[in-house]
Amino acid sequence: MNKEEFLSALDRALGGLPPEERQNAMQYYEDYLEDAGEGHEAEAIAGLGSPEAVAQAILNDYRDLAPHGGGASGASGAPQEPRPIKRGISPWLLLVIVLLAIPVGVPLAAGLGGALIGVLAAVFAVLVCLFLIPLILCIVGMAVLFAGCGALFTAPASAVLAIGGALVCLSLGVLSALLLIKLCMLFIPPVVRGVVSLCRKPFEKRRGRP
Amino acid sequence: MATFGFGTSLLDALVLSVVSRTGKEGAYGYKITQDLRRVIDISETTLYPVLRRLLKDGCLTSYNQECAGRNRRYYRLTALGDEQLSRYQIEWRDYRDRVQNVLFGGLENE
Repeated sequence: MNKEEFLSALDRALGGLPPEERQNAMQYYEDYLEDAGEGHEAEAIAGLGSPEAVAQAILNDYRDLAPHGGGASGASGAPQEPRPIKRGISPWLLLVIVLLAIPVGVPLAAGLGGALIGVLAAVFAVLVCLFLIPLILCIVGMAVLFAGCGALFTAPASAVLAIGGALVCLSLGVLSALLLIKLCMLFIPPVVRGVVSLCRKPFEKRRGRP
Repeated sequence: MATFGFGTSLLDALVLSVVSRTGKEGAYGYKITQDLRRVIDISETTLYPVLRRLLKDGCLTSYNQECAGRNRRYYRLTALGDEQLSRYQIEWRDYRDRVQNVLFGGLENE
């Protein structure tokens, strides 16, 4: 690589610099190679290394120094300005995403809502059944007991059978009622507490923010 | 020659002193590099950024002078550069003494 080749490669590699900086650097290296003299030219070029590495050192130094340089390098602000554009999504892109989401999102939300309502209804039905079982057992037991008592003298054998069945029915009803009460005592307080805290959460969050 | 770490300030100080020695006329890039290379093993590439920084800081000033049919850029010390050099000299003396005190167990400096 001779002097001309070195200098033109360096000039190309310094393309990112403002014209004044670039010219200063070019003059320095032109001077340097001139002053090295014809005889030492090759040696001086070898000593400098590749034009790209030389340019990189200048560019690095320029970047380090530019923020402190102040008014002397007015052009230095220019390469940094386009950066903030990359932040966030453009509002048009956001609009397109929202519009595309509607045909998928609305049925999905409706489906989820329907499923939730179904689950709640099933839970409610199961709870109603749980309450009805002891009630019905007790009512049926009582009715059969009275009927059995009334028929005790007209048809004693059938009446005793009916009374026995009614007592079994009543005892099952009382047992299941006791079991239900026990279950209610076990489950209702934590469920109520959970629901209350769930309802309170949005308000607490809002209160938490000053 | 053993080499020790070369911080920016020491390099600045050496460049300032090499330029200051050339007086009113100033020095040109190639000569500064050659003078420096007699003392420290810096690559030729290192000097230009140092000169540029010293120019920006106002420690050096440059001018073009015709020489053998072309413009050659000369660098000269400013008043600020002169002050900075004196400060570097004082700091270096202090630093050198402290290093020597440790390296030679205080013998050199008593």
